[in-house]
Amino acid sequence: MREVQGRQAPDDILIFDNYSAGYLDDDGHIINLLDSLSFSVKEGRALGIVGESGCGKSITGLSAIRLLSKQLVVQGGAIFLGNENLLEKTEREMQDIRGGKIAMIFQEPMTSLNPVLSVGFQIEEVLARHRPELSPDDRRSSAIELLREVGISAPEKRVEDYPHQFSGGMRQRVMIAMAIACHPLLLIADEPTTALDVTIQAQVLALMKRLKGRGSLMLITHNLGIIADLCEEVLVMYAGRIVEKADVETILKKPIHPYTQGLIASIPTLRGERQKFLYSIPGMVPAAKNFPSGCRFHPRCDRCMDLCRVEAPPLTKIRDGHSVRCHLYSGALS
Amino acid sequence: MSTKQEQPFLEAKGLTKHFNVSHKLFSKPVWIHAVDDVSFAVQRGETLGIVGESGSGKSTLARLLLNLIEPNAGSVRFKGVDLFSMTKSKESTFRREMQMVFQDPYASLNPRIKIGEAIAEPIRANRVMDGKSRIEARVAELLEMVGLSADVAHSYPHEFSGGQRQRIGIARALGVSPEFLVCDEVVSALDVSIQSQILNLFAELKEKLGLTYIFISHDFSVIRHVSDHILVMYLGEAVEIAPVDELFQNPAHPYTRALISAIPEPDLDVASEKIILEGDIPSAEAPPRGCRFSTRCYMAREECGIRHAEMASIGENHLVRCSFALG
Repeated sequence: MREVQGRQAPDDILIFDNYSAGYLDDDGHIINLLDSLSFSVKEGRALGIVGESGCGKSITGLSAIRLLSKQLVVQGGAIFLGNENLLEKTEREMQDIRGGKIAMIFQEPMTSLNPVLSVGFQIEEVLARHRPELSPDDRRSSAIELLREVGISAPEKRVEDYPHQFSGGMRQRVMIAMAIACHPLLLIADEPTTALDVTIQAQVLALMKRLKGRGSLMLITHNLGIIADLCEEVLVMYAGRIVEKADVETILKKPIHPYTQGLIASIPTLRGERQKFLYSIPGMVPAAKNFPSGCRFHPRCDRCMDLCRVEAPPLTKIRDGHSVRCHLYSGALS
Repeated sequence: MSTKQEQPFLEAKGLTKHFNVSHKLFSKPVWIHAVDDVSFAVQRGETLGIVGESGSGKSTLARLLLNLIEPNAGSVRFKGVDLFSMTKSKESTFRREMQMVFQDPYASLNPRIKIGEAIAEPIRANRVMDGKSRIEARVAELLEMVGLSADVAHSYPHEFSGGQRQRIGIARALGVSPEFLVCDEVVSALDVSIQSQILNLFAELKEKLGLTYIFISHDFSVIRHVSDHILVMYLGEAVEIAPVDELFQNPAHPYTRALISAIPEPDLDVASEKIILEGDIPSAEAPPRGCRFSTRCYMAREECGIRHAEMASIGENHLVRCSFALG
């Protein structure tokens, strides 16, 4: 049975409806990257998007905030924020949405912060853009309050400091303060802790956990441990397609897509018996220009059938809240 | 690990390296305490894992072990011979026996030199063998050993993916038939599915060639997977060293405990009592007085800021640098 993703659920904040996107190569051809993505982020919930490099997880995040570079073109579908299709918005309207209703934080905060402006100024800039009713004094006190909220000590003093005076973990806290300044409906976090040391990552994750529930979260990461820590729902992406989506418990404990299963089995663990060899998926992650035909995972799959080489499997609903894109479950076998 | 009866394969004693980072002519030197008084031993055929966060001194330690930089104090004995006091001619023999694999092999491959050439280079430079056809055959053998096909010898570095480049880096290191490999963050830049392939390759080569490894990583789960013994470093010092299972069953140093608990695990059944350390890692320019971890330690008492703890034994092959862990 083919799953039809509608706009009906009232608690959906953000909906990707059959969204496809590709990039223009040097000859002007469009090469497909994201293929028919359908999913939604629910109010107050955290959705994790997990996958390896080149699977399209970051482009999915950037699509939701319409920050795609010129080479990337939308090939179809829609992205709804509430009832409004973001793809139909003008750039001007998008500027109201970015930082207001949807905010985003990235892996390397130093590249997102302006080095010649104080962090206070940069937080106040967001407030000035989206909450013009605030006076300059109000903005300053809000900025201090936000810094305090994200765990920066002595915020009255630090608000005057410049990005280089903060450590990596502290910069990411500043980015989070900027992102939550206008109480967005949705926060998109793209590998927010990947550049940080483990003990600093734990601090930032604890902060994100504390802020959870105020809005929705779309967390993009390659690390299933972080997904387990923060998310309720998970999308597993491979080569531009959603291969499995379910609640976090199902994905971690009873995944059914061969890729999800292989990915989880490949991770060395901190507990249990140590094996001399890890499970490993053969081959490598394909680049977009040579995505395989049929199921894009088929050349690496140990359960590949003839059908998989020619026909892309549909996203099949296993039960409410659990779908998978694999011919083993598509009904093609029966 | 340091059994008395047997001479260790590699033994470091009191290794210390301070870098002067002041570049002003008449100003006082400013010392970075990169590695301070680190001692350990590795037996032949074993893997020692070194784990720590940025600035812990793990990469400096690797360079000291390979005699790429000279220590301010301490010694490294490789098969009983002191690395820092040997003659130049002897040194080149030892260079052949110890090799290093880096995080990003792309950075160490010349983009205009074909892979086969790049692998042949150290073989020629070390005069392991001569004759064009013999070296070509050796390169082909090495490529197959690391899971690549022999005909990629004619390709250029940019034609390879990250995982394949790491295989090339390994082939290059193995060319001179070393006995000892230092692997510095060798899987950190790789995707999970590729990481497991490369870790398996290291395990396979160790078995096949009888190699001894030092594996350096910030990723505790990778270190647990590959190691027999683990050395935990913090701000240039060894804070704990123990056999892998012992370390995970009885982590004694508060930092080791925090580091293990801080790792997000893809496992929902783990009762996660996370120890969240406060503050940042202090600068190695001015490491805290007393115990270096005392500024972030959740167990620290007043005396920790004054008294510097020494490494002390708390069990078989289990050493820890903490006054309280000793009971």
